[in-house]
Amino acid sequence: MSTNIQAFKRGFIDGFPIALGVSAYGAVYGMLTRGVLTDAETAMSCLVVFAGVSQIMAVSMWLHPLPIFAIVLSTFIVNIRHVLMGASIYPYAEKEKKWVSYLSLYFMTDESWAVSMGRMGKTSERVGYLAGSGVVLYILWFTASMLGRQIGGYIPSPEKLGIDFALTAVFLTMAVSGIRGRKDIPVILSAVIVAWLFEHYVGGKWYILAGGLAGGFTAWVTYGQD
Amino acid sequence: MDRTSFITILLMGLATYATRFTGFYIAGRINMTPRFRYALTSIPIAILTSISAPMVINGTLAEKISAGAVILAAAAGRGLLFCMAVGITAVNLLRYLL
Repeated sequence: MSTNIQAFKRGFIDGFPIALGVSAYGAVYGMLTRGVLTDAETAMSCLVVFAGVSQIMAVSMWLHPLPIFAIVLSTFIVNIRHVLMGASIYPYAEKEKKWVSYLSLYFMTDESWAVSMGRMGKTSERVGYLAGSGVVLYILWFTASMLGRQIGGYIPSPEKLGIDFALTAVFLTMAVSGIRGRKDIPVILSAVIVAWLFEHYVGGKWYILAGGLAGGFTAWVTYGQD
Repeated sequence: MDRTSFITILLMGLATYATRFTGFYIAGRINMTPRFRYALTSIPIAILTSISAPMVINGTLAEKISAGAVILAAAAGRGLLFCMAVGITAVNLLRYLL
């Protein structure tokens, strides 16, 4: 059994290419903060909130006097999908020290969660991996955001370099390589249908939570039928 | 930084961290029957397909074909880096061609 420090290093290395892709969006975020947030506010957002979509949303709502309640509530709602991701980590971190798990969860993002699940599902990886892949994202997210603020307009859009699709590729790859066999077919089908319906008719990020719950419920119903 | 901004960002951070640890906390309080554990370990594949599906369905033709290439590479057991490279190469090429 490896230590959490070794797991952290593995996560950090595996997370690096993904963090590079995410940092393209960090640069875009940094650009958007120009003239709206101060340097300190931008830095604090990256270090304390560390959640791209809600940070960008907050910029669009950042008019003094600040609508504090609306900003905080929107942040919570946009990130509510993390509740399900955190729960899915639990079976793999049951025996870890609680503080290590809760510290690792502070750095959990969609992307680092995805690579960690891919790894934890196949090997008996430790929760330090989640922290490592999260921390490399954290560092690059902060750096790219501050850089994007400085050099602003010189940054090409992520679409121009195909980086937007690199992140799609991450989620697709983790989805395909995570399939455990035939028993996952109803889970995947229900998730795809519900996610598509929510994305189409509800909007926002609700489709991730809805599809995840639908798949989990389908698994609960079909348990033991393979 | 003025105090209101500081408090707002701090509360945003607390709200976000709450979403990150709550599910983990609740999962630890629930009596884990094998059926529940199975449902819980099925959630990642459900979330991953939920994130991917609209990206592919709403994507351009170039993105749909590139997604197909990534799926094939992943199904062949290739690693994440290889699959990312396939995706980036395919999408750049196809966006240029189509």
